[in-house]
Amino acid sequence: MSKQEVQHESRSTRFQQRKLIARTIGDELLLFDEETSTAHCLNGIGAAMWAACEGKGSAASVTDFLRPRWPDIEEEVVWGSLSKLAAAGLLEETTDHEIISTARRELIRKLGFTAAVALPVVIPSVLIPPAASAASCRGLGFACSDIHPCCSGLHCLLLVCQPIG
Amino acid sequence: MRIGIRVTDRLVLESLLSRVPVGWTRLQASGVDRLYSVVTPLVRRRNVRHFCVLYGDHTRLSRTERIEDLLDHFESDLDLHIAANSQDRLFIHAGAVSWKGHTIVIPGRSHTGKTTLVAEFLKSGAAYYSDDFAAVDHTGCLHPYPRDLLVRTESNGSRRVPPEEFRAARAQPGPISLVLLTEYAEDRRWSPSPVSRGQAMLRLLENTPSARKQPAFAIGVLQKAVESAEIHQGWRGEKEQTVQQVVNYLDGWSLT
Repeated sequence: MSKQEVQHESRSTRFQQRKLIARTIGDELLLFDEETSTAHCLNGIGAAMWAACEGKGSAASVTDFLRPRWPDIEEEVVWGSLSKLAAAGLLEETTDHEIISTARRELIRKLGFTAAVALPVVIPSVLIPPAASAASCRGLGFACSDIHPCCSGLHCLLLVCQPIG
Repeated sequence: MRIGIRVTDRLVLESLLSRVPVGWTRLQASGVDRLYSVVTPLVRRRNVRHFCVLYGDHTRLSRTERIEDLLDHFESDLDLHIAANSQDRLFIHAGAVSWKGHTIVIPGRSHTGKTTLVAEFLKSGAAYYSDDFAAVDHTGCLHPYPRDLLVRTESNGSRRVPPEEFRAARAQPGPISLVLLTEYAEDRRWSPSPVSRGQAMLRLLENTPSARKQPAFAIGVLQKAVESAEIHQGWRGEKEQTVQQVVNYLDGWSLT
């Protein structure tokens, strides 16, 4: 993707926060998506970018917002980072008239912009498992069921954990 | 939380009640949050297999000839139900002990060596909070949730070990001092690296059964629970060496 294309994309794209549970933890921001039961933790710069998108923000406006704290940050890097946050489901990404399709976002990614530039945003995420998976596994000879699975090397046969094979 | 229990044999009721978490009280209630039913054979005949059956609401949870298995299943399901639905305590899938007043929490799924470490801490003289679920109140304070330890045997089975077997005292409620994010790995040595509080929160949320159902509550409580805690992350090797290093580290705190 050429620099001109990046600039064109950057200028025509707007980003806005999705409705997520947000908690500030020191410099970091913990976000929880109730739709997908996924939790994310943004580092300081990612948290600032997300905060800057409270209303609809462009890469340029977010860059201006970040400059007092990160004077060297470039608009293209901000645009790539915002796209990354959008790809993680933390921001809604729109142009003036259309919603960016996943295919288009994939195209942007394949064209290599995000891969070629080291983005400062770090987004470790975890999918919160269903409650039943928190149950400890059952050992040999113990009673088992769908919600009480057997430990590895065993399987649940006639509601009792038995060796596989 | 209201739990109903009905049985076909009164003697079984006492055994079931011995598996209910301490502090329960008897209520007169028309409705319950979960109803357990235990059907045991009334008459025993020769050459006939006699099964005990456990239901949780309308679901059959266990069918076994050994009442001990049924009781284990009851206890495990009850703990999970409480952990997933409690609104006044947050339950983390974690072992927890106290070393000279310093509270240590070891979150993790099955087979990460949680119980192994808890047992080793108890052998070393730590006080006991819990083996499987750590209970935290809305101020972030950890409370005991004492259960027998489910220690794995070499034959891939499990053995219940009461904490009294380690002569462990019951720990007093208190703030969390240290969170250990660790798993066993052969030929490794406990050499923890610092981890950010936010990333630790992700790991704790992953091990919180009610996180999907009440995320705002879970996040709020976890945030308070870890706000003054140190968080150490890394692979661990043998349990003896790991526990010794951790208690030495905590003893260093006491000296400063």
